[in-house]
Amino acid sequence: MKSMDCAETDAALVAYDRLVRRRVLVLAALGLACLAGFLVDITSGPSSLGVVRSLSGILMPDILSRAEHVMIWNLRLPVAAMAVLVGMALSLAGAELQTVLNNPLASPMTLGLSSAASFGAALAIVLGIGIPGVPSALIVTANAFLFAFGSVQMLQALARRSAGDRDTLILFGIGLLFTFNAGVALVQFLASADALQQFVFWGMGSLSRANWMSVAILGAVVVLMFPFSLRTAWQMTALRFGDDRALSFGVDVRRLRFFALLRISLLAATAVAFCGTIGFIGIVGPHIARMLIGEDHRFFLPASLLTGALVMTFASIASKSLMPGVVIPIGIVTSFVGLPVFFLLVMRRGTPR
Amino acid sequence: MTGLKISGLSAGYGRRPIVKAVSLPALGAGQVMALVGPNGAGKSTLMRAIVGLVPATGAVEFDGTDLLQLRLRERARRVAYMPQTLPGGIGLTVLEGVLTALRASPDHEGLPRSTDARQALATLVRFGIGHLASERMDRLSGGQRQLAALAQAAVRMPPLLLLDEPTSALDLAHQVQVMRCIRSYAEIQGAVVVIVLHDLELACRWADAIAVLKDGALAAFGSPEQAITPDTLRQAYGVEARIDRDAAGRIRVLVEDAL
Repeated sequence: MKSMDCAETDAALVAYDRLVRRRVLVLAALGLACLAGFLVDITSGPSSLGVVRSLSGILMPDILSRAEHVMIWNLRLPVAAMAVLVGMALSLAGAELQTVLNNPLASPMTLGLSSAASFGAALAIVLGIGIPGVPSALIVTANAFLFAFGSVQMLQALARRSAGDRDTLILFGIGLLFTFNAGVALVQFLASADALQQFVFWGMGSLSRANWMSVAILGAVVVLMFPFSLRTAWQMTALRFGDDRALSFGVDVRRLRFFALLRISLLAATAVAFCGTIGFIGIVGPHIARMLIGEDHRFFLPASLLTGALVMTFASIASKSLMPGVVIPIGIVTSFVGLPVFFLLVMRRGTPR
Repeated sequence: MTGLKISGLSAGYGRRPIVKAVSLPALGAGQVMALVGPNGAGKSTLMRAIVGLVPATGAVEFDGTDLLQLRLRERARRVAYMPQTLPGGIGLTVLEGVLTALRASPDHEGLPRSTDARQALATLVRFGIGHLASERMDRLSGGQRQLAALAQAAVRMPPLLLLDEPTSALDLAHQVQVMRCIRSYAEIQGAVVVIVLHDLELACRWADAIAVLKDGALAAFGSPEQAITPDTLRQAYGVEARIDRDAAGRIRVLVEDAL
């Protein structure tokens, strides 16, 4: 009996090691796919610049003509980097949110975050209302960020005054969503035709406004937040078993949820402020990651980061290639690119293996 | 004093107390106490109050410390709790689920990780589900899930283990297997185990002491012979019952009619 137990234990340990190794490999493959996607993204676009010339222009900027230099270094690279970062930020935020709200349909947009951002942007674009002291070039971005970030903090404060559980958060979030949507509608109703058009374009979600400053800011937010996310990986996995069980393991669930929401609001608000509403990534990224790698958050969180970047990069490539000479706003494309992959994975999961 | 002693424990949600001033004499190390009573008697609430999941007043002394005064982390070091239900749809294997219980605990920070998987597996083997280690939790049967949840609660080897209906979804063989595991856990670890049960015969066979709750108050307490009597059953459950003993001397509860 004893030796059988030992054999059983050894076999299970070997199987577990194999599982961990397989997950590391999946992460590495996702990373490589992201890198490849990023390079393709840089080399594609509505101009005659070839693949070889684009790539060598990145490695040796001196060989490029002035126009080519601007094309690669001021347009394509920041846009491609922004695609990767926005995908990472929204997907990581979605993954954490789905866990802390225990709801696979949650995304940063569920809590009214993008509606709040839209409202902030609408105030700036239509009524010219912004934060005093902010340069006029940044007033829309700053407003969008402030409202998006502020809405989640307001949600936290409201939830703390009541039961503070996840259902309260979702209910308050839905309340905020409708309130901000009404606010946006009101501002739109008051807007001039010009301002309205400008606002509608902002709301579509686009990478075309990306520059090195926005890339640096969003990059810094992702790089700063991700280690904190990873640090809570075990506690987040424990949360999948419900609040009561996590609490009985010794996890401070309220604290965990509070800081997770803080990270989520920073990541998503920064992304939305620079690029407008890009839905779907926050739901589809984590779902693909979950199907590929399971829910051990040590692997699930980095996988979500990478799947988000990957889907967003593909969307960026598609947005330039679908209609020759036109870059379709990426917010429109993400769904078209992400959905087939998503459906495929869901259907594969449904078939018995 | 070692062991568990509850004095004047009241607990509930909002202003409505569900558990009303329950006091239980001391339970020593290595003892198993069954908590029985009709639906809504406050068994789960009493348990949740001990873990700190429900606001409570009174005192829950364990090894000389009042658990109600402790911070979450300190309390989690002493107590593990298994709620009635394990949520479905979790994309983890059984081993990962048990490993998570071990690693998510704040006490675990800084300990060597190489032995964790081994410790988690040893717990699975102990509860007879070593062969399910690599199985996904959402593909387990109800009974297997209950066993996995039990392993999750026991993996940190807490000196006080609270189990809310751990046998409710189990077939007869698994019921005996789980109760035997719980018994030997208490004896080997010198732990106190409190367990909510609906099956009175199971309680009588495996517990050292039985507390009968009715409407949030203690209706009877003592050894199985003392606690489970026709009088208590009439008072707590509203049934006419006969208590017999079989050839092996085990208590048999024969319910004849509801009052």
